[in-house]
Parts: sequence; C-alpha cells; structure tokens
Amino acid sequence: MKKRNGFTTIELIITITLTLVIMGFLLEILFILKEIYVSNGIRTELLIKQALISHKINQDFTNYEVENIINCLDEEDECIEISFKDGPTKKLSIDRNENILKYGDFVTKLVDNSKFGEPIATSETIIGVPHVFNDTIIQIKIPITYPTYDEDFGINIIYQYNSTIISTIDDNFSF
Amino acid sequence: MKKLNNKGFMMIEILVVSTFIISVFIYLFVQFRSINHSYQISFKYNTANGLYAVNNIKNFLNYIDIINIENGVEDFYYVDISECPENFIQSTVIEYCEILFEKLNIEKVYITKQDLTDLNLHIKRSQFTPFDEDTKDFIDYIKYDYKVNGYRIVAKFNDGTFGTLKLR
Repeated sequence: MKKRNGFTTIELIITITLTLVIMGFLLEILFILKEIYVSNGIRTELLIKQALISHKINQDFTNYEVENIINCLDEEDECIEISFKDGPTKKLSIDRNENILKYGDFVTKLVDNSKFGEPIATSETIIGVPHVFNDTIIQIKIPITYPTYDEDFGINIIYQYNSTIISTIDDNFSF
Repeated sequence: MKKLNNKGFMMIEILVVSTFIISVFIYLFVQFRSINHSYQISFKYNTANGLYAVNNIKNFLNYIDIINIENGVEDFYYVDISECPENFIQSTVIEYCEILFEKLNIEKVYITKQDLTDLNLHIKRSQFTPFDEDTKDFIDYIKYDYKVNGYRIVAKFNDGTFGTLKLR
C-alpha cells in the first residue's frame, strides 16, 4: 500500500482559518491597547499639569491672607495681581498665543493641543450673613480643554473671607 | 511496517497552541484591567482640586455651629448636606452655603464619622441607601483609623471626582 505523507485539505483549511481568526483577535487587542496607552498618557499629563497649577496657587491662598486682587496694570495678557498679607504679591496671567500660564515665578506651558477656556475671576458678597462669619467668596477659574476629552483640566480656586474684617479687596477685578 | 496515521495531528496541535496563547492573553488582560482600574482611581479620588475644595467646605463648617450635624451623624451613619438643609445648616448662612457649593462644583456632600466601619457595614447590608455605586466604592476605598472620634467630609463633584478630609 502507498505511504501517505502530508495533511488532508480539510485539516489545512481548518488550521489556516483558526490561525487567521486568532491573529485577527490578537491584532484587534493590540490596536485597542495601543489606543488606551496613548490616550491615558495624554490624560495623565493633563491631570498632572492641573494638579501642579492648582497646588501652586492654592498653597498661597491657604497659607496667607489675601490683601487685595486687582487687574494687572502693565500686562496685555489676561492677568490679575494678587497681594497677600505678610506674603508675596504675585501675578496670575495666561498667554493664549504661547499657551503659557504664569503665577509669580512659576511658568508652565500647557500640554500640546490643549487650550485655555474663558477664565473667570469674581468676588461675590452674600447679604444677610452675620458679621462673625465669612460672607464673601472669591472664585478664580481657568478652564483648560483638550479636543478629545469633555473634561475640564483647569483650575478652580475658591477663597472665603469676611468683608467686614478684610475690606481692602477691590471686587472689580476680572480677566 | 506500522502504518502512520497523519489524520488530525495538525488540528490538535493548533488547538493546543491556540488554547495556550488565549489563556496567556486572558491573564494579561485581567492584569491590565486591574492596573487600568488603579490608574482611573488615582486620578478620580482626592485630586488636588478636590482636596482644596473639600478644605473650603471644612473652613465653612468650622465657622458655623454644626451641633445638629454632629447629632445627626451620631444618630445615623451620615448626614447629607448637599442641599444645605435648614435642619443642619444655620438659616443665616444657607444662601452662602448654596453659593459656595455651586462655585465648588459640588454634587454631593456627606458628613460621616471618622471611623467608617459602621457606615461601610450599613452600606453592605442595606438594600436602600442614597449612595450611588461610585460613592460606595469611594467610601470603601477611604483609609481611616478605627475607633477614633471625630467627623469626616466626603464630597462628590460634578466632574465625577471625589475628595475627603477629616472635619474634626
């Protein structure tokens, strides 16, 4: 009888089909993982930048008493100047052309492709609050957006004070 | 001479190898999912923005009389002050409270005991709690000292992040 070497056609077809199916799944997994890696990398950078900026500014608002906030007189960029009692005087400004945020000596460039939204700097005094409590809230909000994410990667600084005790803060500042 | 039977050998081989490779990838996927979950948590819980926001809530509560809040927490496991309710917040500062929470992008604020053992047990045993799944996960995540007196602020923000600080 003849000696048979090799494989049957059916075997080969099934083997090749199975191999192609597995390779297809593996490639899909690879693409998904690569997408997650890149996307998470960018998000990580944005969140770290947010934490850094937030901490730099909040640190001063926590450690010192705000004496006054005014619009910067000599800056063309969106800028406010914050004076702290027994502390430094620092300018907070954003440069949309260079995508840079400056706070005192701290200068940081935004992550590529991210951009500033419309900043808010307001002071709101609530009428009717007893004099012994804080009655005024200062809010400094600088949104930072990135095209592929809906989230805001910016900062939101809140400072509370009693306007009957600290009456030096001019509430007409804005970006 | 013994006749060699070649039928089915290649198929079995590919099935064995496929099973092995798929098992390896399932294992790697499970590990990756765990790492990704830890990553998501690290940027969702106690962010810099969130902690400073909770600190603002703490400053506000430290100024006002919170005896009703403390009593409420002692009676039950937590107090929800998200809407600045007048049974817990002095009427003269309710408007201030509402504006403050709005500016802080607060969705929910709870005051609990520092020791979260009882609250965690209550959440696990009770079918009906006002906490959503994300909040339950965050409360479960918080590291706390056992049998320590005092209170804690747990805040959920509109962007889905969470923050917590000791109140007293």
